[in-house]
Amino acid sequence: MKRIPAWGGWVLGVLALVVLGAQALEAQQQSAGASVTIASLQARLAALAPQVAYLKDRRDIFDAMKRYTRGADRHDKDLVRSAFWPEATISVDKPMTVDEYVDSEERLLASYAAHQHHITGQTIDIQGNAAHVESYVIFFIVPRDGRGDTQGPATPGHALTSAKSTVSSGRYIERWEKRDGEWKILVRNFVEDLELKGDTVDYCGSRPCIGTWDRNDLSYMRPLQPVTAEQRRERAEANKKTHSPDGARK
Amino acid sequence: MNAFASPARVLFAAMAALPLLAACTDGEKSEVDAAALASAEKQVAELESAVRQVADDSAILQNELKYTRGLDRHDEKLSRDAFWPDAIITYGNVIPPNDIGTWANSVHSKRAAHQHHVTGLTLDVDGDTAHEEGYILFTADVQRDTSADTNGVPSPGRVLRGSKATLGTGRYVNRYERRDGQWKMAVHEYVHDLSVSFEPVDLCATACMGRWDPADLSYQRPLQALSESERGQRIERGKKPTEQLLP
Repeated sequence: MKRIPAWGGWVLGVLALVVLGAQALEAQQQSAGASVTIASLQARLAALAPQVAYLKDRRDIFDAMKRYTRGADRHDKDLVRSAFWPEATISVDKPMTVDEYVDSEERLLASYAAHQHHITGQTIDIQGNAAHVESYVIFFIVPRDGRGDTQGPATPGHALTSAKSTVSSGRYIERWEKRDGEWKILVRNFVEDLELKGDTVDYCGSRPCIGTWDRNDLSYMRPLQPVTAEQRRERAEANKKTHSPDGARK
Repeated sequence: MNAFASPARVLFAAMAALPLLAACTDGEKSEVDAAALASAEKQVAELESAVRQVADDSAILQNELKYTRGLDRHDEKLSRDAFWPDAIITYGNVIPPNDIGTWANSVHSKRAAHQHHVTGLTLDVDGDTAHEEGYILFTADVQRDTSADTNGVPSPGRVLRGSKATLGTGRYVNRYERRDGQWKMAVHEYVHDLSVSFEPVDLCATACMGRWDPADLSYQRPLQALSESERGQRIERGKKPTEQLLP
Protein backbone atom coordinates (compact mmCIF):
# COMPACT_ATOMS: atom_id res chain seq x y z
CA MET A 1 0.00 0.00 0.00
CA LYS A 2 1.31 3.43 -0.97
CA ARG A 3 2.25 5.59 1.98
CA ILE A 4 0.43 8.85 2.46
CA PRO A 5 2.48 11.82 3.70
CA ALA A 6 1.57 13.30 7.08
CA TRP A 7 0.39 16.67 5.70
CA GLY A 8 -1.70 14.80 3.21
CA GLY A 9 -3.54 13.12 6.06
CA TRP A 10 -4.42 16.50 7.58
CA VAL A 11 -5.57 17.97 4.27
CA LEU A 12 -7.76 14.99 3.59
CA GLY A 13 -9.06 15.14 7.14
CA VAL A 14 -10.07 18.79 6.80
CA LEU A 15 -11.64 18.13 3.39
CA ALA A 16 -13.51 15.20 4.81
CA LEU A 17 -14.82 17.30 7.67
CA VAL A 18 -16.01 20.00 5.28
CA VAL A 19 -17.79 17.46 3.08
CA LEU A 20 -19.26 15.62 6.07
CA GLY A 21 -20.42 18.85 7.64
CA ALA A 22 -22.02 20.03 4.43
CA GLN A 23 -23.75 16.67 3.94
CA ALA A 24 -25.00 16.56 7.50
CA LEU A 25 -26.30 20.11 7.25
CA GLU A 26 -28.06 19.42 3.98
CA ALA A 27 -29.66 16.24 5.28
CA GLN A 28 -30.86 18.04 8.38
CA GLN A 29 -32.30 20.89 6.33
CA GLN A 30 -34.07 18.50 3.99
CA SER A 31 -35.74 16.44 6.68
CA ALA A 32 -36.59 19.54 8.70
CA GLY A 33 -38.20 21.06 5.58
CA ALA A 34 -40.23 17.92 4.88
CA SER A 35 -41.45 17.52 8.45
CA VAL A 36 -42.42 21.19 8.67
CA THR A 37 -44.47 20.83 5.47
CA ILE A 38 -46.24 17.66 6.65
CA ALA A 39 -46.84 19.04 10.13
CA SER A 40 -48.28 22.28 8.77
CA LEU A 41 -50.46 20.37 6.28
CA GLN A 42 -51.71 18.17 9.11
CA ALA A 43 -52.57 21.28 11.13
CA ARG A 44 -54.43 22.81 8.17
CA LEU A 45 -56.31 19.56 7.58
CA ALA A 46 -57.22 19.37 11.25
CA ALA A 47 -58.61 22.91 11.05
CA LEU A 48 -60.44 22.21 7.77
CA ALA A 49 -62.03 18.91 8.84
CA PRO A 50 -64.55 20.32 11.38
CA GLN A 51 -65.60 23.10 8.97
CA VAL A 52 -66.28 20.61 6.19
CA ALA A 53 -67.97 18.24 8.67
CA TYR A 54 -70.30 21.07 9.72
CA LEU A 55 -71.32 21.81 6.11
CA LYS A 56 -71.73 18.12 5.38
CA ASP A 57 -73.79 17.56 8.56
CA ARG A 58 -76.09 20.45 7.64
CA ARG A 59 -76.46 19.11 4.12
CA ASP A 60 -77.12 15.54 5.29
CA ILE A 61 -79.72 16.70 7.83
CA PHE A 62 -81.58 18.79 5.24
CA ASP A 63 -81.34 15.89 2.78
CA ALA A 64 -82.87 13.44 5.29
CA MET A 65 -85.60 15.99 6.13
CA LYS A 66 -86.41 16.21 2.43
CA ARG A 67 -86.72 12.41 2.36
CA TYR A 68 -89.45 12.81 4.98
CA THR A 69 -91.43 15.56 3.19
CA ARG A 70 -90.93 14.08 -0.24
CA GLY A 71 -91.95 10.66 1.09
CA ALA A 72 -95.06 12.13 2.74
CA ASP A 73 -96.05 14.00 -0.43
CA ARG A 74 -95.51 10.96 -2.67
CA HIS A 75 -97.03 8.49 -0.13
CA ASP A 76 -93.72 6.63 -0.17
CA LYS A 77 -93.66 5.07 3.31
CA ASP A 78 -90.15 3.62 2.92
CA LEU A 79 -88.80 7.06 2.12
CA VAL A 80 -90.56 8.57 5.15
CA ARG A 81 -89.29 5.77 7.39
CA SER A 82 -85.71 6.33 6.17
CA ALA A 83 -85.63 9.73 7.92
CA PHE A 84 -86.19 8.17 11.40
CA TRP A 85 -84.21 5.81 13.64
CA PRO A 86 -86.29 2.66 14.31
CA GLU A 87 -86.88 3.53 17.99
CA ALA A 88 -87.78 7.19 17.31
CA THR A 89 -90.68 8.82 19.11
CA ILE A 90 -92.87 11.19 17.14
CA SER A 91 -95.32 13.44 18.90
CA VAL A 92 -97.88 15.15 16.70
CA ASP A 93 -101.19 14.69 18.53
CA LYS A 94 -99.76 12.05 20.85
CA PRO A 95 -96.42 10.17 21.06
CA MET A 96 -96.15 7.49 18.37
CA THR A 97 -93.67 4.90 17.14
CA VAL A 98 -92.28 5.25 13.63
CA ASP A 99 -94.65 2.60 12.24
CA GLU A 100 -97.69 4.16 13.94
CA TYR A 101 -96.72 7.59 12.66
CA VAL A 102 -95.97 6.50 9.10
CA ASP A 103 -99.30 4.66 8.83
CA SER A 104 -101.47 7.28 10.50
CA GLU A 105 -99.93 10.14 8.56
CA GLU A 106 -100.28 8.36 5.23
CA ARG A 107 -103.93 7.60 6.03
CA LEU A 108 -104.56 11.22 6.99
CA LEU A 109 -102.87 12.60 3.86
CA ALA A 110 -104.80 10.13 1.68
CA SER A 111 -108.02 11.77 2.89
CA TYR A 112 -107.09 15.03 1.13
CA ALA A 113 -107.27 15.79 -2.58
CA ALA A 114 -103.74 17.22 -2.61
CA HIS A 115 -101.04 18.31 -0.18
CA GLN A 116 -97.48 19.58 -0.19
CA HIS A 117 -94.92 20.22 2.55
CA HIS A 118 -92.24 22.87 2.08
CA ILE A 119 -89.25 23.01 4.40
CA THR A 120 -88.22 26.64 4.16
CA GLY A 121 -85.18 26.59 6.43
CA GLN A 122 -83.51 24.88 9.36
CA THR A 123 -81.73 25.97 12.50
CA ILE A 124 -79.22 23.31 13.43
CA ASP A 125 -77.32 22.98 16.71
CA ILE A 126 -74.78 20.17 16.40
CA GLN A 127 -73.02 18.68 19.44
CA GLY A 128 -70.91 15.75 18.31
CA ASN A 129 -73.23 12.97 17.16
CA ALA A 130 -76.37 14.69 18.41
CA ALA A 131 -78.14 17.64 16.85
CA HIS A 132 -81.12 19.75 17.76
CA VAL A 133 -82.92 20.87 14.66
CA GLU A 134 -85.83 23.23 14.14
CA SER A 135 -87.31 23.08 10.64
CA TYR A 136 -89.78 25.68 9.44
CA VAL A 137 -92.56 24.12 7.41
CA ILE A 138 -95.37 25.54 5.27
CA PHE A 139 -97.87 22.96 4.12
CA PHE A 140 -100.91 23.03 1.90
CA ILE A 141 -104.01 20.87 2.26
CA VAL A 142 -106.83 20.68 -0.27
CA PRO A 143 -110.09 18.99 0.90
CA ARG A 144 -111.14 15.96 -1.07
CA ASP A 145 -114.35 15.23 -2.87
CA GLY A 146 -114.25 11.46 -2.47
CA ARG A 147 -117.57 10.68 -4.11
CA GLY A 148 -115.95 9.48 -7.33
CA ASP A 149 -113.26 7.39 -5.62
CA THR A 150 -113.03 3.67 -6.17
CA GLN A 151 -111.22 1.42 -3.74
CA GLY A 152 -107.48 1.06 -4.28
CA PRO A 153 -104.10 2.53 -3.36
CA ALA A 154 -104.52 6.23 -2.58
CA THR A 155 -104.28 8.68 -5.47
CA PRO A 156 -104.63 12.46 -5.59
CA GLY A 157 -108.35 13.25 -5.63
CA HIS A 158 -110.89 15.75 -6.83
CA ALA A 159 -111.01 18.97 -4.82
CA LEU A 160 -114.08 19.69 -2.73
CA THR A 161 -114.61 23.31 -3.73
CA SER A 162 -117.38 23.89 -1.18
CA ALA A 163 -114.83 23.51 1.65
CA LYS A 164 -111.83 25.74 2.36
CA SER A 165 -108.22 24.79 1.77
CA THR A 166 -105.60 25.22 4.48
CA VAL A 167 -102.16 26.75 4.40
CA SER A 168 -100.46 25.88 7.63
CA SER A 169 -97.20 27.18 9.02
CA GLY A 170 -95.33 25.49 11.81
CA ARG A 171 -92.15 23.87 13.02
CA TYR A 172 -90.72 20.40 13.40
CA ILE A 173 -88.67 20.55 16.59
CA GLU A 174 -86.37 17.58 16.67
CA ARG A 175 -83.44 15.75 18.17
CA TRP A 176 -81.27 13.99 15.64
CA GLU A 177 -78.54 11.43 16.05
CA LYS A 178 -75.62 10.46 13.83
CA ARG A 179 -74.85 6.74 13.74
CA ASP A 180 -72.22 5.26 11.40
CA GLY A 181 -72.03 8.62 9.67
CA GLU A 182 -75.78 8.81 9.06
CA TRP A 183 -78.11 11.44 10.53
CA LYS A 184 -81.71 10.51 11.38
CA ILE A 185 -84.49 11.79 13.61
CA LEU A 186 -84.77 10.33 17.12
CA VAL A 187 -87.39 12.66 18.63
CA ARG A 188 -89.93 14.81 16.81
CA ASN A 189 -92.38 17.30 18.27
CA PHE A 190 -94.58 19.12 15.82
CA VAL A 191 -95.72 22.64 16.65
CA GLU A 192 -98.26 24.38 14.47
CA ASP A 193 -98.04 28.17 14.68
CA LEU A 194 -100.75 29.45 12.38
CA GLU A 195 -103.23 28.49 9.69
CA LEU A 196 -104.76 30.39 6.81
CA LYS A 197 -107.93 29.38 5.02
CA GLY A 198 -108.29 29.95 1.31
CA ASP A 199 -110.78 29.09 -1.38
CA THR A 200 -110.33 25.62 -2.80
CA VAL A 201 -109.33 25.40 -6.44
CA ASP A 202 -110.10 22.29 -8.46
CA TYR A 203 -106.91 22.71 -10.44
CA CYS A 204 -106.79 19.14 -11.73
CA GLY A 205 -110.41 19.38 -12.79
CA SER A 206 -109.59 22.06 -15.35
CA ARG A 207 -105.93 21.52 -16.26
CA PRO A 208 -103.73 18.47 -16.76
CA CYS A 209 -102.32 17.13 -13.47
CA ILE A 210 -99.57 14.56 -13.67
CA GLY A 211 -98.27 14.15 -10.11
CA THR A 212 -98.92 10.76 -8.53
CA TRP A 213 -98.73 9.18 -5.06
CA ASP A 214 -96.52 6.28 -6.12
CA ARG A 215 -93.23 5.57 -7.86
CA ASN A 216 -94.81 6.25 -11.21
CA ASP A 217 -94.34 9.95 -10.39
CA LEU A 218 -91.92 11.67 -12.80
CA SER A 219 -89.50 12.45 -9.97
CA TYR A 220 -88.57 8.74 -9.78
CA MET A 221 -87.74 8.34 -13.51
CA ARG A 222 -84.09 7.41 -14.22
CA PRO A 223 -82.80 8.72 -16.53
CA LEU A 224 -85.45 11.42 -16.74
CA GLN A 225 -86.85 11.75 -20.26
CA PRO A 226 -88.84 14.67 -21.59
CA VAL A 227 -92.56 13.90 -21.40
CA THR A 228 -94.32 14.26 -24.72
CA ALA A 229 -97.62 16.14 -24.96
CA GLU A 230 -99.28 12.75 -25.59
CA GLN A 231 -97.73 11.16 -22.48
CA ARG A 232 -98.72 14.19 -20.45
CA ARG A 233 -102.31 13.82 -21.63
CA GLU A 234 -102.28 10.10 -20.82
CA ARG A 235 -100.95 10.73 -17.32
CA ALA A 236 -103.51 13.48 -16.72
CA GLU A 237 -106.27 11.20 -18.02
CA ALA A 238 -105.16 8.37 -15.69
CA ASN A 239 -105.18 10.83 -12.78
CA LYS A 240 -108.87 11.51 -13.30
CA LYS A 241 -109.66 8.01 -12.05
CA THR A 242 -109.25 8.49 -8.34
CA HIS A 243 -108.81 5.80 -5.70
CA SER A 244 -108.80 5.72 -1.95
CA PRO A 245 -108.18 2.86 0.50
CA ASP A 246 -111.77 3.15 1.77
CA GLY A 247 -113.37 3.49 -1.65
CA ALA A 248 -116.09 6.08 -2.27
CA ARG A 249 -116.66 8.54 0.55
CA LYS A 250 -119.30 11.15 0.94
CA MET B 1 4.64 8.25 9.48
CA ASN B 2 1.95 5.63 9.71
CA ALA B 3 0.70 7.41 12.80
CA PHE B 4 -0.13 10.55 10.71
CA ALA B 5 -1.73 8.56 8.01
CA SER B 6 -4.18 6.79 10.27
CA PRO B 7 -6.48 9.81 10.92
CA ALA B 8 -6.87 10.07 7.16
CA ARG B 9 -7.82 6.42 7.00
CA VAL B 10 -10.29 6.94 9.81
CA LEU B 11 -11.80 9.86 7.99
CA PHE B 12 -11.93 7.96 4.71
CA ALA B 13 -13.75 5.22 6.50
CA ALA B 14 -16.06 7.78 8.06
CA MET B 15 -16.77 9.33 4.65
CA ALA B 16 -17.61 5.96 3.24
CA ALA B 17 -19.82 5.12 6.17
CA LEU B 18 -21.67 8.41 6.24
CA PRO B 19 -23.90 7.89 3.21
CA LEU B 20 -24.88 4.53 4.68
CA LEU B 21 -25.65 6.15 8.02
CA ALA B 22 -27.57 8.93 6.30
CA ALA B 23 -29.52 6.35 4.31
CA CYS B 24 -30.43 4.59 7.55
CA THR B 25 -31.75 7.76 9.25
CA ASP B 26 -33.45 8.84 6.01
CA GLY B 27 -35.14 5.46 5.88
CA GLU B 28 -36.55 5.87 9.36
CA LYS B 29 -37.55 9.41 8.60
CA SER B 30 -39.22 8.54 5.30
CA GLU B 31 -41.14 5.71 6.95
CA VAL B 32 -42.59 8.25 9.40
CA ASP B 33 -43.23 10.68 6.56
CA ALA B 34 -44.90 8.00 4.45
CA ALA B 35 -47.27 7.09 7.29
CA ALA B 36 -48.11 10.77 7.90
CA LEU B 37 -48.60 11.32 4.18
CA ALA B 38 -50.85 8.29 3.83
CA SER B 39 -53.08 9.41 6.69
CA ALA B 40 -53.15 12.98 5.36
CA GLU B 41 -54.03 11.67 1.91
CA LYS B 42 -56.90 9.61 3.32
CA GLN B 43 -58.20 12.62 5.18
CA VAL B 44 -57.96 14.80 2.08
CA ALA B 45 -59.92 12.20 0.08
CA GLU B 46 -62.68 12.19 2.73
CA LEU B 47 -62.79 15.97 2.77
CA GLU B 48 -62.90 16.09 -1.03
CA SER B 49 -65.86 13.74 -1.14
CA ALA B 50 -67.77 15.74 1.51
CA VAL B 51 -66.95 19.06 -0.15
CA ARG B 52 -68.02 17.69 -3.53
CA GLN B 53 -71.46 16.78 -2.11
CA VAL B 54 -71.89 20.16 -0.44
CA ALA B 55 -70.63 22.01 -3.53
CA ASP B 56 -72.89 20.05 -5.92
CA ASP B 57 -75.91 20.77 -3.71
CA SER B 58 -75.02 24.42 -3.50
CA ALA B 59 -74.27 24.84 -7.23
CA ILE B 60 -77.53 23.16 -8.27
CA LEU B 61 -79.61 25.20 -5.81
CA GLN B 62 -77.90 28.37 -7.09
CA ASN B 63 -78.71 27.36 -10.67
CA GLU B 64 -82.35 26.75 -9.76
CA LEU B 65 -82.51 30.14 -8.02
CA LYS B 66 -80.87 31.77 -11.02
CA TYR B 67 -83.72 30.43 -13.14
CA THR B 68 -86.50 31.63 -10.81
CA ARG B 69 -84.79 34.98 -10.22
CA GLY B 70 -84.60 35.38 -14.01
CA LEU B 71 -88.35 34.66 -14.23
CA ASP B 72 -89.26 37.08 -11.45
CA ARG B 73 -87.00 39.89 -12.74
CA HIS B 74 -87.91 39.21 -16.41
CA ASP B 75 -84.20 38.74 -17.02
CA GLU B 76 -84.14 36.57 -20.14
CA LYS B 77 -80.40 36.02 -20.09
CA LEU B 78 -80.45 34.84 -16.47
CA SER B 79 -83.22 32.29 -16.91
CA ARG B 80 -81.80 31.05 -20.23
CA ASP B 81 -78.39 30.64 -18.62
CA ALA B 82 -79.75 27.99 -16.24
CA PHE B 83 -80.11 25.56 -19.19
CA TRP B 84 -77.70 23.89 -21.60
CA PRO B 85 -78.34 25.09 -25.17
CA ASP B 86 -79.64 21.61 -26.12
CA ALA B 87 -81.91 21.32 -23.05
CA ILE B 88 -85.47 20.06 -23.40
CA ILE B 89 -87.99 22.14 -21.48
CA THR B 90 -91.61 21.06 -21.34
CA TYR B 91 -94.44 22.98 -19.76
CA GLY B 92 -97.02 20.93 -21.61
CA ASN B 93 -95.39 22.10 -24.82
CA VAL B 94 -91.68 21.94 -25.64
CA ILE B 95 -90.03 25.35 -25.32
CA PRO B 96 -86.57 25.86 -26.90
CA PRO B 97 -84.06 27.02 -24.25
CA ASN B 98 -83.36 30.15 -26.29
CA ASP B 99 -87.00 31.16 -26.02
CA ILE B 100 -87.59 30.33 -22.35
CA GLY B 101 -87.08 33.91 -21.15
CA THR B 102 -89.26 35.56 -23.81
CA TRP B 103 -91.94 32.89 -23.36
CA ALA B 104 -91.99 33.27 -19.56
CA ASN B 105 -91.99 37.07 -19.80
CA SER B 106 -94.91 37.10 -22.21
CA VAL B 107 -96.90 34.96 -19.74
CA HIS B 108 -95.83 36.84 -16.61
CA SER B 109 -96.20 40.37 -18.05
CA LYS B 110 -99.95 39.82 -18.22
CA ARG B 111 -100.00 39.45 -14.44
CA ALA B 112 -99.85 42.20 -11.83
CA ALA B 113 -97.18 40.39 -9.80
CA HIS B 114 -95.52 37.02 -9.39
CA GLN B 115 -92.87 35.30 -7.31
CA HIS B 116 -91.33 31.84 -7.36
CA HIS B 117 -89.78 30.35 -4.24
CA VAL B 118 -87.50 27.33 -4.43
CA THR B 119 -87.91 25.94 -0.93
CA GLY B 120 -85.55 23.01 -1.19
CA LEU B 121 -84.36 20.26 -3.41
CA THR B 122 -83.74 16.55 -3.43
CA LEU B 123 -80.58 15.66 -5.27
CA ASP B 124 -79.37 12.37 -6.68
CA VAL B 125 -75.90 12.79 -8.19
CA ASP B 126 -74.28 10.14 -10.36
CA GLY B 127 -71.00 11.36 -11.84
CA ASP B 128 -71.71 14.24 -14.18
CA THR B 129 -75.46 13.61 -14.21
CA ALA B 130 -77.87 14.55 -11.44
CA HIS B 131 -81.58 14.02 -10.97
CA GLU B 132 -83.12 16.78 -8.97
CA GLU B 133 -86.56 17.63 -7.66
CA GLY B 134 -87.08 21.25 -6.60
CA TYR B 135 -90.10 22.22 -4.52
CA ILE B 136 -91.67 25.42 -5.84
CA LEU B 137 -94.07 27.74 -4.06
CA PHE B 138 -95.29 30.57 -6.22
CA THR B 139 -97.91 33.03 -7.11
CA ALA B 140 -98.17 33.86 -10.78
CA ASP B 141 -101.77 34.68 -11.45
CA VAL B 142 -102.46 37.97 -9.70
CA GLN B 143 -104.83 39.48 -12.26
CA ARG B 144 -103.69 42.75 -13.75
CA ASP B 145 -105.81 45.85 -14.17
CA THR B 146 -104.51 46.68 -17.64
CA SER B 147 -106.53 49.92 -17.75
CA ALA B 148 -103.85 51.41 -15.45
CA ASP B 149 -101.00 50.57 -17.85
CA THR B 150 -99.18 53.04 -20.02
CA ASN B 151 -96.70 52.11 -22.72
CA GLY B 152 -93.17 51.26 -21.57
CA VAL B 153 -90.88 48.58 -20.19
CA PRO B 154 -93.08 45.94 -18.51
CA SER B 155 -93.35 46.53 -14.77
CA PRO B 156 -95.42 45.07 -11.92
CA GLY B 157 -99.00 46.23 -12.34
CA ARG B 158 -102.16 47.15 -10.49
CA VAL B 159 -104.43 44.38 -9.27
CA LEU B 160 -107.81 43.93 -10.88
CA ARG B 161 -110.41 44.91 -8.30
CA GLY B 162 -112.52 42.02 -7.05
CA SER B 163 -110.25 39.36 -8.60
CA LYS B 164 -108.81 36.34 -6.82
CA ALA B 165 -105.22 35.12 -6.94
CA THR B 166 -103.85 31.66 -6.35
CA LEU B 167 -100.89 30.46 -4.40
CA GLY B 168 -99.60 27.43 -6.22
CA THR B 169 -97.23 24.68 -5.33
CA GLY B 170 -95.50 22.15 -7.49
CA ARG B 171 -92.22 20.60 -8.41
CA TYR B 172 -89.51 21.10 -10.96
CA VAL B 173 -88.34 17.65 -11.99
CA ASN B 174 -84.96 18.06 -13.64
CA ARG B 175 -82.05 16.18 -15.11
CA TYR B 176 -78.87 18.13 -14.60
CA GLU B 177 -75.61 17.68 -16.47
CA ARG B 178 -72.16 18.85 -15.47
CA ARG B 179 -70.08 20.10 -18.39
CA ASP B 180 -66.69 21.76 -17.87
CA GLY B 181 -67.37 21.73 -14.13
CA GLN B 182 -70.68 23.58 -14.46
CA TRP B 183 -74.11 22.19 -13.56
CA LYS B 184 -77.06 23.23 -15.75
CA MET B 185 -80.42 21.72 -16.64
CA ALA B 186 -80.60 19.28 -19.56
CA VAL B 187 -84.22 18.16 -19.05
CA HIS B 188 -86.75 20.35 -17.25
CA GLU B 189 -90.28 19.25 -16.39
CA TYR B 190 -92.84 20.99 -14.25
CA VAL B 191 -95.40 19.09 -12.17
CA HIS B 192 -98.13 21.21 -10.62
CA ASP B 193 -99.62 19.73 -7.46
CA LEU B 194 -102.20 22.20 -6.13
CA SER B 195 -103.47 25.77 -5.94
CA VAL B 196 -105.28 27.70 -3.23
CA SER B 197 -107.17 30.90 -3.95
CA PHE B 198 -106.80 34.10 -1.90
CA GLU B 199 -107.79 37.71 -2.08
CA PRO B 200 -104.85 39.65 -3.53
CA VAL B 201 -103.68 43.00 -2.22
CA ASP B 202 -103.10 45.85 -4.70
CA LEU B 203 -99.66 46.48 -3.29
CA CYS B 204 -98.54 48.95 -5.96
CA ALA B 205 -101.47 51.23 -5.01
CA THR B 206 -99.60 51.98 -1.79
CA ALA B 207 -95.96 50.90 -2.02
CA CYS B 208 -94.23 48.50 -4.38
CA MET B 209 -90.60 48.91 -5.40
CA GLY B 210 -89.83 45.71 -7.28
CA ARG B 211 -88.96 46.03 -10.96
CA TRP B 212 -88.93 43.71 -13.95
CA ASP B 213 -85.69 45.17 -15.32
CA PRO B 214 -82.12 45.91 -14.12
CA ALA B 215 -83.41 49.00 -12.30
CA ASP B 216 -84.44 46.55 -9.56
CA LEU B 217 -82.46 47.09 -6.35
CA SER B 218 -81.03 43.57 -6.46
CA TYR B 219 -78.83 44.57 -9.42
CA GLN B 220 -77.24 47.59 -7.74
CA ARG B 221 -73.43 47.35 -7.21
CA PRO B 222 -72.38 48.42 -4.66
CA LEU B 223 -75.76 48.51 -2.98
CA GLN B 224 -76.53 51.86 -1.36
CA ALA B 225 -79.12 52.51 1.36
CA LEU B 226 -82.16 54.19 -0.19
CA SER B 227 -82.75 57.73 0.94
CA GLU B 228 -86.30 58.70 1.83
CA SER B 229 -86.70 60.66 -1.42
CA GLU B 230 -85.33 57.80 -3.56
CA ARG B 231 -87.73 55.43 -1.85
CA GLY B 232 -90.55 57.89 -2.53
CA GLN B 233 -89.58 58.12 -6.21
CA ARG B 234 -89.56 54.34 -6.58
CA ILE B 235 -92.95 54.02 -4.90
CA GLU B 236 -94.39 56.74 -7.15
CA ARG B 237 -92.95 54.92 -10.16
CA GLY B 238 -94.56 51.69 -8.93
CA LYS B 239 -97.98 53.33 -8.82
CA LYS B 240 -97.81 54.00 -12.60
CA PRO B 241 -97.35 50.58 -14.16
CA THR B 242 -96.08 50.23 -17.70
CA GLU B 243 -96.51 47.48 -20.24
CA GLN B 244 -95.50 47.08 -23.85
CA LEU B 245 -98.78 48.09 -25.40
CA LEU B 246 -99.62 47.48 -29.04
CA PRO B 247 -99.37 50.72 -31.06
